[in-house]
Amino acid sequence: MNRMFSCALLCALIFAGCKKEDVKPVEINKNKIAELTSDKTTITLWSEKAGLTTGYNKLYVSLKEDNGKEISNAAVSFMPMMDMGTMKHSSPLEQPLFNSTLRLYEGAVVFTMPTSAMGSWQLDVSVNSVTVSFPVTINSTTQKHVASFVGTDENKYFISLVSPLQWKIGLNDLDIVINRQASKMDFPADDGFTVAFFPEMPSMEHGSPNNVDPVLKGNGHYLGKVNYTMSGDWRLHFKLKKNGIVIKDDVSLDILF
Amino acid sequence: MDYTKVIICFLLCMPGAVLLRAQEDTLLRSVVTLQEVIVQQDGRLHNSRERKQGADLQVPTDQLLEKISGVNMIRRGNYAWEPAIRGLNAGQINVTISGMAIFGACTDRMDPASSYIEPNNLKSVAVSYGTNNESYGSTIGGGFNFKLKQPRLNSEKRFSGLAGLGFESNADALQTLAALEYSSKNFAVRGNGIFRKAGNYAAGGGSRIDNSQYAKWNGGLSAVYRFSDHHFIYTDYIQDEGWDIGYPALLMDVAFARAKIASVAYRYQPHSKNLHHWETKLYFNTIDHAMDDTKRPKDQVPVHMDMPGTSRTTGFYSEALWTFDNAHHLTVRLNGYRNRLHAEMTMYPEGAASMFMLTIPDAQRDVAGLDISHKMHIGQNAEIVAGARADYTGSSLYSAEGKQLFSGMHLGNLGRSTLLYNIYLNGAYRMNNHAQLFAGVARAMRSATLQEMYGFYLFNRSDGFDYIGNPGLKNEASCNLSTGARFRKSIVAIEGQVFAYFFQHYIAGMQVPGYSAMTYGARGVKRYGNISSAVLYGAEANIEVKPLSVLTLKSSNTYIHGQDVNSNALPLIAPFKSVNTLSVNWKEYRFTGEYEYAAAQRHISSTFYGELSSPSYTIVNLAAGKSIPIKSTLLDLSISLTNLFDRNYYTHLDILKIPRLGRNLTVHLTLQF
Repeated sequence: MNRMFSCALLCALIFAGCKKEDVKPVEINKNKIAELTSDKTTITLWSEKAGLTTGYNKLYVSLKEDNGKEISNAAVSFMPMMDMGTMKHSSPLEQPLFNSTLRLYEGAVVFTMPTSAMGSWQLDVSVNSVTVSFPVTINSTTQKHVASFVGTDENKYFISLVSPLQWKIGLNDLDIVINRQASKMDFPADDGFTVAFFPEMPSMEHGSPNNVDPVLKGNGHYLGKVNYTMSGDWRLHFKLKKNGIVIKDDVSLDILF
Repeated sequence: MDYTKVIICFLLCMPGAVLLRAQEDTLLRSVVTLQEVIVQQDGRLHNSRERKQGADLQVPTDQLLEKISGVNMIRRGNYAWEPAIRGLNAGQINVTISGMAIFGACTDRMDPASSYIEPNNLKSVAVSYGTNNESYGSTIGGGFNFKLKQPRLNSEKRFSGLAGLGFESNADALQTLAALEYSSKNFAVRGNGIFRKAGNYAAGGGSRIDNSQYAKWNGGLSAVYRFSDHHFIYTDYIQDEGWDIGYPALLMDVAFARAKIASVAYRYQPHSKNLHHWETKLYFNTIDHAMDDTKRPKDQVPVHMDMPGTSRTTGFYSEALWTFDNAHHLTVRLNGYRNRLHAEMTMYPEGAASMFMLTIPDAQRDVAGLDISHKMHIGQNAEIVAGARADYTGSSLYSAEGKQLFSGMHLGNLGRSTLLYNIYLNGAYRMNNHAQLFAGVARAMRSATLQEMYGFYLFNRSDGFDYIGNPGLKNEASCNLSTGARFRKSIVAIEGQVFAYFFQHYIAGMQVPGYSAMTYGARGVKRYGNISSAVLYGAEANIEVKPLSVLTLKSSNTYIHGQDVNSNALPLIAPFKSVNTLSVNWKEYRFTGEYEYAAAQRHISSTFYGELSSPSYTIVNLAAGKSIPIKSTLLDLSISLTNLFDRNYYTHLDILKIPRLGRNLTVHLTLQF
């Protein structure tokens, strides 16, 4: 018993020690993905999640001069690129803006497929027209947080669940973002939809009551409420209309919690 | 004064197994809304006949209750039946153990509080029909107060006790029980225990009812200590553990059902003063319950699931009784408790992630009540009991997880507090030595139960719907009226009574279109709501003829009719029932023949309450017994043969119409010392 206590105490001291070393003027409570230095500026890429996965990923950039001073007034932009050998394509994204609370440039990228033998991702980050390339590994998920479909208007769209996904049993905020594929390199957010949806447990074949259809918030985001009556596998079915015309009757996303 | 002398006092006349039959004492019946079934007499009584009458403690509590006039049992298997009084059940009646509030933990009503006590624990069962001064909470339909047997100080025997063994041919049921009491001048202690086990029973005609087995043990320990002439301390502890209990009428069985019930009480009992007694009790009880589907055949279990639940209650009461001028009796009772319910479900679908939810999302009930009643004698022939009770009832969800879960079902405030009040006036008038009239009127209220407020997709096998609670429910209220008369002359005693309950805001499940059920095979979802009004009325008639001193003929008849404002028949209402017995007590021998008839129940609402009609039935039961004094001990042998003709039958309150036991030979052997 005594020995265990001593061990615990030792561990506590070690961790406490570690923490002290890490103390910085502004503590960044994100997961570091990679860091590059270019032109005396250190560019660090952070993620909300521990790793990057297919679907919507919140990404953050911190900039630091070689004297350690933070840069908060740079023009920062993302350009994700999937290189599949024969072709390249980008993906939907939200360009970063400086968040003065977090002291980070905050943006997002919807990775539409995982890194695989078929191709690899890189994320170009431009800082005041200087561009650095981060090779990034996108892990596949067992759940489907992004789906693509071709609408009755012949356009290709992407629908994504906006993270962070902190689901709880009961009523949850539901945030989705819809992007149209204008070209292989351009995926503008689409604000023109009317969204109807219902959740379902595929293994139980039941739904839940009191869900609220997402309505447009702006920048392709639609906010609604989803009621998870229990934890487990859920499938969210969306029906999308534009000007009263059905663009997609049923596109689904899958979640598990 | 001893209130048992002024209430109708029913003694168990037949120790023979299930042929227990409440028999009236000759005492004046003054309070019409209460009767007391004596389970165990005090050891001090010298009247050996009375001692004998309390001898058979081997009859399960369920069967004991079912024999009480006006009580019907809702049955989901061969264990833990749920009592209904005059068609009212669950939250409409109040069940307490020596004044202690206790609530079952199962979301499927598998464990009514009465399933956690055994006759071996009990002195008596007080049954209230409506509102009166014997209830420890606001109630519409009355209830049961199971009074625990206390050891007796200064008994004539220092050690006394009993031991018994019982066997039933059907279901190969076996039981064994024992009790031991030590008594001295200032300290007495009593311990008791029972073990029961039964296999699957056979219904009439021989078909075996799978998943109807059960096993349990129950132990009780009570002590009393007198630390000065008028000051006493009582402690009680009961532990009841059931396991491997089948519920053929439900989708799941029970892996275990465990209750621990503890209390300590202080009683001040001065002699020759206006204050008769003042008693204060603190209590705590905890129930752990786990449903189980692993013993069911694969095709009955689309998804394996675990459904455990807990119920914890902490409470107190303090009551005092004053008597003035031998004509006025004032009872004041202050009581309160907190009950917390937690129930959850985890489902394990094949090839998919497990799923979890709370089925009772950590619900809490806080109650504080004050009860004042005044009983007075007016002249020689009239008596009135008037009383009032006010209750503060708070309901809430105590965990963040529970609140979050229910946020998806009910927008707005989930907590609720209400004030309830009950008022009652009961009177009795003796016209002459043979006839007596009595009447009662009450205004009663109850708060919705925690299940009715916060239940989350609770499956009701009776109508096949998942039920969702509704925190916005109004209190159910009723005006209760009853009146009757008794007549007794030479060999004949007749008693008749009519009663009516006029409900407001009657609580019932209402279908919610568009909601999808969670339970496989469920027909849909219902949410509890209030129906503006409903009425329940009925009559009871009892006739007793004693043509010879050894021969008694008895007939007990009950009828209830209930419907709501939409003319839908209320659910779980027993049809006309008549129980007729012929008993012979000759020397040390007892013989009883019983003929029980229930009419068909066709007054049902299949569309709204999801009930189906039930056919009539008749069964015949026989019993015989003998008490053999051996020195200072008494050996009692009881043999009974129930359902003599092996009829395949069920009552209207039997869920899913699972037939009851076929022919069953029961042998009980008890030695009292």
